[in-house]
Amino acid sequence: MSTHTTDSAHAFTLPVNSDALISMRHIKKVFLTDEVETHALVEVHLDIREGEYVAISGPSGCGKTTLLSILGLLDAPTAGEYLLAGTPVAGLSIPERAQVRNRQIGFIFQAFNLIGDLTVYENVELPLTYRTGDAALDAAERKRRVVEALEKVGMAHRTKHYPAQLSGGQQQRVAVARAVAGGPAILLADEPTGNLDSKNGEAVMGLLQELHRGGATICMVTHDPRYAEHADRSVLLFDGRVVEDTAHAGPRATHASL
Amino acid sequence: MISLRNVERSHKAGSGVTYVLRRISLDIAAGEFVTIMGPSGAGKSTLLAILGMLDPAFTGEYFFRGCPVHTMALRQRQSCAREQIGFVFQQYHLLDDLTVAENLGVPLDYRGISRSERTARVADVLDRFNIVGKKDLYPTQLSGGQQQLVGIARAVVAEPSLILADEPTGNLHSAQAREIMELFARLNAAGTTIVQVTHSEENAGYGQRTIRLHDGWMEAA
Amino acid sequence: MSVIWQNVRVGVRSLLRQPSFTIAVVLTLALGIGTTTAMFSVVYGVVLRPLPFGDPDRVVSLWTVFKPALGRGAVSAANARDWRAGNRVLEDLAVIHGNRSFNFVDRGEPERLQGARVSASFFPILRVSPLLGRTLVETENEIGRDNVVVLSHRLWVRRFAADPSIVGRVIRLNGVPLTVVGVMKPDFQYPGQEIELWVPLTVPAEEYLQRTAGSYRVIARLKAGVTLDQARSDLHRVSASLARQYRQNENIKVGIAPLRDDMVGGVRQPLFILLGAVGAMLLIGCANLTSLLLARGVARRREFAIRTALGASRGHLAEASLTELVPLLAIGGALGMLTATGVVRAVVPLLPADFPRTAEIGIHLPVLVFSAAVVIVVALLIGVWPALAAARTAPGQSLTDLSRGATSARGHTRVRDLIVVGQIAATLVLLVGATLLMRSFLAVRQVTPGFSPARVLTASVAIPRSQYPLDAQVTAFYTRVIDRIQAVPGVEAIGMVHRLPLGGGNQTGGVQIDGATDRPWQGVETRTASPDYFRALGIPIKEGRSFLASDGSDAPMVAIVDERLARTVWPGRSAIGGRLREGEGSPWSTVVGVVGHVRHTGLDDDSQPQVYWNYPQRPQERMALVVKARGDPAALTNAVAAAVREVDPQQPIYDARTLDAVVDRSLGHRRFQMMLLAVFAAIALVLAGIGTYGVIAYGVTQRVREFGVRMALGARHRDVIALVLRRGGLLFAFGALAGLALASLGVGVLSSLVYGIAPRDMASFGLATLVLFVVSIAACYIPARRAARVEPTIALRSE
Repeated sequence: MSTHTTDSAHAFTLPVNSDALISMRHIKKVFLTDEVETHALVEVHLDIREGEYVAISGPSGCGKTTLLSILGLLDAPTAGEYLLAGTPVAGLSIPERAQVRNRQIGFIFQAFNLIGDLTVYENVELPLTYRTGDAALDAAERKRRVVEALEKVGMAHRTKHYPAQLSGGQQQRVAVARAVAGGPAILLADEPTGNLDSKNGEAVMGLLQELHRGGATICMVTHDPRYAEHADRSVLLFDGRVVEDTAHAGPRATHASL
Repeated sequence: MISLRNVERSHKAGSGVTYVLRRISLDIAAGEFVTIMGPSGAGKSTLLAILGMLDPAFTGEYFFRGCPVHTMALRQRQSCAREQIGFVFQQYHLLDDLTVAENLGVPLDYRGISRSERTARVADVLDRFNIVGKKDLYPTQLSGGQQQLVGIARAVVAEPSLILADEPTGNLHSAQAREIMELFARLNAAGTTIVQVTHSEENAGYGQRTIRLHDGWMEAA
Repeated sequence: MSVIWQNVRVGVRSLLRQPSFTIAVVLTLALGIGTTTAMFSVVYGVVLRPLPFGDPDRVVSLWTVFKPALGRGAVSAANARDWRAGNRVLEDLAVIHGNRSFNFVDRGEPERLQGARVSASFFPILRVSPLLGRTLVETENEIGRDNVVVLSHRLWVRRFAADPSIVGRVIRLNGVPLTVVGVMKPDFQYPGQEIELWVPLTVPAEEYLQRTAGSYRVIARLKAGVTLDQARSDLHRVSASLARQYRQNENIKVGIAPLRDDMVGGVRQPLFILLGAVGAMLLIGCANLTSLLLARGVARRREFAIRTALGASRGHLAEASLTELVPLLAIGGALGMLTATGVVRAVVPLLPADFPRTAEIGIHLPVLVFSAAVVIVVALLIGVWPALAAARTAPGQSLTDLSRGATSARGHTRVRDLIVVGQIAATLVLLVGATLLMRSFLAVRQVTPGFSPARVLTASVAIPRSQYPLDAQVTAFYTRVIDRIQAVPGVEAIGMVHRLPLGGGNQTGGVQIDGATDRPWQGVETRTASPDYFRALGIPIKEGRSFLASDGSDAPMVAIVDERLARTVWPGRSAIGGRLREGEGSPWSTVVGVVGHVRHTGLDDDSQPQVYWNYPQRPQERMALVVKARGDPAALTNAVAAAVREVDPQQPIYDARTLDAVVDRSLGHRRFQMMLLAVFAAIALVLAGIGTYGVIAYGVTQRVREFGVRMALGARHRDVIALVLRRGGLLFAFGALAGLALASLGVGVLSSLVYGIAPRDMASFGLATLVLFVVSIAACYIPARRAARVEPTIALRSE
């Protein structure tokens, strides 16, 4: 077990770690609304290596969601450096960020967030249709990937159904398929079991576990300590800083009941 | 004061039915300070909403001061709740287009209290919670913790006989959290019945007993 | 390509899942595009489309002006001839007498046909050529050489089965054999749509002595390079010179205007007003659409946030927002075109009888182009904004939105509020206009025309001069007709007049007053009548007497004047005994009676005084019989027709109508305008109601959480309703204020159509506002009730 403690008074800037898949240094995020400054992230350093399964937890308002936004290129830090798969994110334009997001990031949300007007198949296919230029995929290739992803989560038999016809657990599984179909560098999960009962929640966690065993890099935000223990490593945020960063002895075994 | 018998709450999810509360039966006497605890998704907030007469879609019986709430129509429930219950929401639910002072005044508006009396009570509450300086700000200009304080202040301003509090200290520093729990304790000592939902064992300590929920079931005490 | 198709499929699919949104948008599009296109096709066909003649903008209309205030007068043959001779600016000039009817007897029914007597220059001036044969030559305008006829295409097809050998055939019109020399092309229908044949105009020599009274229309073609102003000043020169030469021409000037103005001038302004009204309605519809689409965009915010999180570029987002718009526009546009075609087909037959150029109304190419332009403009108006809004989805906020689940879009509501306020204002303007016109219509209907139309049957008879060449024969015919009809049971009184009041025709001229030193000439409406005419119509005899049988063709000439002329010419004393005549060459007529003033041109038009002659002294071949019945006037129709046939078996009666129907018909224009504006106002009202409902309902869905909180804090049913109504009331108040201000500024436009009330009539404004208020409140009430019935817990958990 190794721990990192934060340097609250640093006299030097820490260099980013170019070996890691994700490397964040001195990340700071301030929100300005009317006259009030909210410091969501104060000083965050974080490395995530390829194949790691990291759980980020902390009380509400500690900055977890903001951190995830920045990780997912949905938001830019006020200060600090963020290196993703060797590319510094700071210099990217908005269309470039969208592209990186499309190709490198897979999101899984608490509220599933499937598009109601699209079938299961179309939902999983959607990010693939946004691939342009040299990464563009033809219809046959898209189909192959979609079917493969759906089989991985056990939802291949419901391709023509709409999200409204699925239970919560099933919807989340489709969301996972959508996230992995494009072969992203990292999966970002925001309270993936928040809207599920314990049985379905366990099932989804099992799915993530399986993906991790297959080599996926996962970063999950949760405030449930039970689920945090599924991961290799636990990062605790409080008041915008990392206060604890502990690796576990081994991942907790779960049964994958769907 | 409160009596639940075999209360169940479910909702449809996709093609099936999910149960949020299963066969809940409990009694809470007037003047008690009760804590409800349990993992997330266990149904705590739902139970509180039912107690607060905000959610009618349950089966089973709920008696509030002898009135059968489960048979009352929306209107009757409104007038019953209005007078007696103060609710602290987990998401604060302040009205964004009203100032802090105006937010505090809303429950009083609906109790037909005179203008001067209203101003007086609001001023008193602002003072008690130490937020006089913020009275003309809008909720979007406050931090999460300050919003939470205002939410709690709003629940007590009309001096209800029952306070239902859903995670009242989630966003507060430990010092502030302790102050709030002290306030609750004082109100309880003065006769207000309090039911709180919390994650914190320390907060639970202020109550007289704890009810634990898991996956919608009440754990045997 | 397949991606586009898939997008359209997805768009259609999501539309099907939102039936009320889809129906609202498609209906609004169809209504808006359809009515605008229909209205434009009317405006185009009637006003904008060039007249179907060669080089039509060089053709002008000339008329007589008796002192400026008296409007247009018909032209006398003498003046026409002299204008033609003396001018330097006209290529040529043609004289038209357009009101000629002919009895056509062939195998089959005798039929009355409308024809025009024209100079030979008529056809060359209009640069029209015949389909078969030729048009007229100048020599045929002489008496004796005029036994030729040119047929209209419609007549040729209808009565002659489009016989290609028609040229040279002899047909009998009014008993006179005429040779067909030509057939015109299908779209030529001048001077009126009812004209089916053209014969040469002949003028007897004596008529040239009468310079003031005339019955002709004159058209002319400007020489190349001559402007209208140049022509006007040259013709003034000519008329001034004539005035010096002839005393009769002292007060006669020439009026000139482009022919198109003549034909459509009366309807141009009302049509453009109506087009403006329809345009306002389309804008209101677009406002509704923008509102609906913006709301839809906000409802889809979550979807756009998801797409952003998945890596959609701005282009992808804009594209996604348009997938629904394209099928909506396609269906709405197509339905709109169908609606337009249907509306045109339904409305054109309802147009007032004298509406010009109705046959030219149709979906021509320029109308289609216009319609396509409208669709594009609408698409831009309503599509660009939501697409931009979608593309601007800020990624930074997305995750928070997606996590929290609820989105509040307060910024957008301000814009949609403004849109609704605008709609309400525009609707109020239309409502005020409609109310003004409706009240005007009612006021006009109340006007007493000076006669009593109840229980009166009218029927026209036109005997051909060829069979009754002498005046005495004409007089005898009508005397016998009157006697016969008098004997019919159920007839209380029988009179005749050669132009029915409010019948649409008029004869005007100048009369010279004996002894009036200043202003000896008066412009009047002249009528040939019979002794019992006044009694049959209930026109009161104020002084003196009506005509008597003794006022025959050999007796001294008499006249009856109306009280207005009497007051003007003989103020303060009796008009009886005064003398007047139609021109230098005419004999003096002595005034024997003064009758009440009658409105001839229209119930709302009161310009000219009237002079009546007795029919034996001024015979006319065409007269209108006026039969006062004891019972139902329509029941006498057959008896009257039979009576006429007893006198001459070859004479039909035509245009048999009760006088009530005639009066009603005279209101045709006004009624039509009023109905149109009322329909537009009604549609606008519906649209504004939908718009208000949409915004309020949407506002309610946005405020569900707030209502839930308030209910949790103790708000009652009626507190929530009050909150919603207050917002609706504010929108209405602003909209109404703006609308009232706009309306009071704008009613000047309608002032020519308003009658009996001031354009800024408070009662009309108030009534319109009240109607709008009721609709607005109703539109707010439904969402208000729904809001109050939501359970607080659902409200608080709202997404």
